[in-house]
Amino acid sequence: MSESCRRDFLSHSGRAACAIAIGGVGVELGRRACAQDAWTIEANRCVNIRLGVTGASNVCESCATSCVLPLSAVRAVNDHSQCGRCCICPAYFDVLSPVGPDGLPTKKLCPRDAITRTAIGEVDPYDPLNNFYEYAIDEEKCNGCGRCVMECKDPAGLGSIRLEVRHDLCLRCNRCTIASNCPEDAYRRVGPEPPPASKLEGAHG
Amino acid sequence: MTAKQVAVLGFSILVGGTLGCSPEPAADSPRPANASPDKGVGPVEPPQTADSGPRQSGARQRGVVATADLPKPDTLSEDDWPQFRGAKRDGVVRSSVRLARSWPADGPPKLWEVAVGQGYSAPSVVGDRVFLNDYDEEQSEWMVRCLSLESGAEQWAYKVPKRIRPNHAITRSAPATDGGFVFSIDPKCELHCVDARNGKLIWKVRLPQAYDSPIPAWYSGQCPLIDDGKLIVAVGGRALLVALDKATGDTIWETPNPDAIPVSHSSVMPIEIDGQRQYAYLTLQGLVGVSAETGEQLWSFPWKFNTAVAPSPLPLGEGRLLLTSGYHAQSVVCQVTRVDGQWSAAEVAAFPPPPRGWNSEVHTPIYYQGHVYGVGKSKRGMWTCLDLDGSELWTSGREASFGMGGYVLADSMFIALDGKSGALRLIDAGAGEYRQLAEAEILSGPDVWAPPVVSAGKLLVRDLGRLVCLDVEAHGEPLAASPGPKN
Ligand code: SF4
Ligand code: SF4
Ligand code: SF4
Repeated sequence: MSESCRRDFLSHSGRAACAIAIGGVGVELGRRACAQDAWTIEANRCVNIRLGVTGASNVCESCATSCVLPLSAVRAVNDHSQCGRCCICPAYFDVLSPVGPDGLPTKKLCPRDAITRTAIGEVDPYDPLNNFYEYAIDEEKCNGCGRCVMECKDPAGLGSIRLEVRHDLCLRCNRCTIASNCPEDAYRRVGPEPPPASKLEGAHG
Repeated sequence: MTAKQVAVLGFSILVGGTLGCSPEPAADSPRPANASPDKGVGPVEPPQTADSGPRQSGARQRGVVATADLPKPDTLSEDDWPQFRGAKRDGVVRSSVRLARSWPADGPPKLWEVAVGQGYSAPSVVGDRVFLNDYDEEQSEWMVRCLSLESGAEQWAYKVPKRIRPNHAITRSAPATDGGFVFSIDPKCELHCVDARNGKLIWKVRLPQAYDSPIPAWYSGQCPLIDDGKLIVAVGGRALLVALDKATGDTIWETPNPDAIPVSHSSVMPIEIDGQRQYAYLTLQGLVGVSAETGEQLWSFPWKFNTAVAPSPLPLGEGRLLLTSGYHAQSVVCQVTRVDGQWSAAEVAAFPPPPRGWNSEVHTPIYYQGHVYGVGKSKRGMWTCLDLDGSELWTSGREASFGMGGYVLADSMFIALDGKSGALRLIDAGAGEYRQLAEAEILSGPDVWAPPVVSAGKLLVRDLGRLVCLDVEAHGEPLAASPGPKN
């Protein structure tokens, strides 16, 4: 079955059927085809992750739209140990939206409302704009569109949100449609050789 | 602790005696000169609990200095740097002390260094005194410190118990001083007036309570302005700008704020247009111009900014001002005119929108000989020369990047910091291209964002942990024919 036929087939099937296909036949076939291989995103190539361009309007959505799965195997992941926990998080809020009377942008960024936040630590009611929040990504909702990743990077963000291939979801297709469509050659097959560097070039120490 | 490792700490103490909840100590305590420069000594106030009291009376407090004993302003010299961006608030050093155009391999000679808390505050200098806003995380004390420019020795420290949680560092504004009074706004928007001789409190006002305005996200970034014998600050809430009496803190005028525009991180810029002294102030909604005499709002220029505005408006002469900010905002030049007594402001040049077009997230660029110079937000912060339409005439390209580092113009050279690494660079301001004269590794990154300060041949630079004084004078070279631009 060609890549496009397979994609059509999957996208026209129900979610349950897909899940079965993904969980069973797909995984097995994929793994058999390339036993040691997995797909990964090279951080210093992906336009959404690497330093340089920011702004959700410059986002590359290929990871969300090219995957053969109905919901891409690529998801956004927040590394909480790296997160600044800012009150005005540019990955959570649409920083282009008008600021409301509470001093916060009035719109959220994620088109799928996949990011939630919870106040953490002491909350100072006198200084509400400097409280801290934990930002969590609901991977059931996220489709890896990359908008939040594009915003959570230097200088406003700390690069704590990255796109990652979820290997439990990925079919490890022999010819990955994301890799074929990736404009930056950032979608890489890793196998016996070492994975690409994940530390961003030029990032904070 | 670095800016990355943001700890969740606690609360500040904001209410004076009259409100009856968690009062601050009545007298803010100057620290003796022999105290350790980086660790406060003397009684330590226990961490206070939250102040959630109503924003009303109790916002103002008088200090302990008797009226007869009030300080007198100094006569400032060309070597003084009494406030943010210098005496004319343009980022230009007008001293006639010649500066070295090259440095030894390990950088200019270091005269002294002192430990400072994490922040981006630049110092201000009058005579031999360096004034710096600082924070001691161990003691939970916010401070104004006075150091000797000659030796770095601490002369006094005014300390206020105040718990501030690092939020992309803590301190981020410079004091303003006339040599007699020192005015500082702390991260939680309390405005303090202290005696430059000894650090004693003269008066203070809690701006959020007095004007019903929130503390901005990432805390206050505003640097107060002393102009024509008055203190000018933006407050948001009930008033947009206020002019206060330096000695008493009493209100001279208030600019009404019917749209309840919140205070930004920008600082008020004094300008003169068509013979009228004014104050230009940048908010998320755009630029406003206010009469220096009465506080009346004369004109406004609406412009869309996003999330936060930190740079100040940059006067380009003849009523033109450049407005820029980060968060993907587009930079623009507006023209302010008066026709038949009516003021108006109109767009004359919109820069290309980001990410292609130039903008600045933190710093106010410098206007020099008809061009705009500064670090652009995009492309990892290249040093850029622009014309007044926003066309990039040249950049540092692959030669050097500056992140969000600060810069100053002195003796026809830009002294600029790489905000990521702390590298200090000397750039020829008249070369018509990026020509780097010297580079030194003095500081360490990340977030070396405070603008450098030059006074009498001494360069003050800081990172998140140290304030360093370097000898950058060209010893033995003749005096400069022209100390600086005339704009
Ligand atoms: S990658 Fe897209 S869908 Fe996923 S959390 Fe970020 S903005 Fe939302
Ligand atoms: S921008 Fe990134 S680092 Fe900053 S709060 Fe948001 S998720 Fe965390
Ligand atoms: S397709 Fe390539 S550049 Fe686009 S988001 Fe995926 S990895 Fe990044």
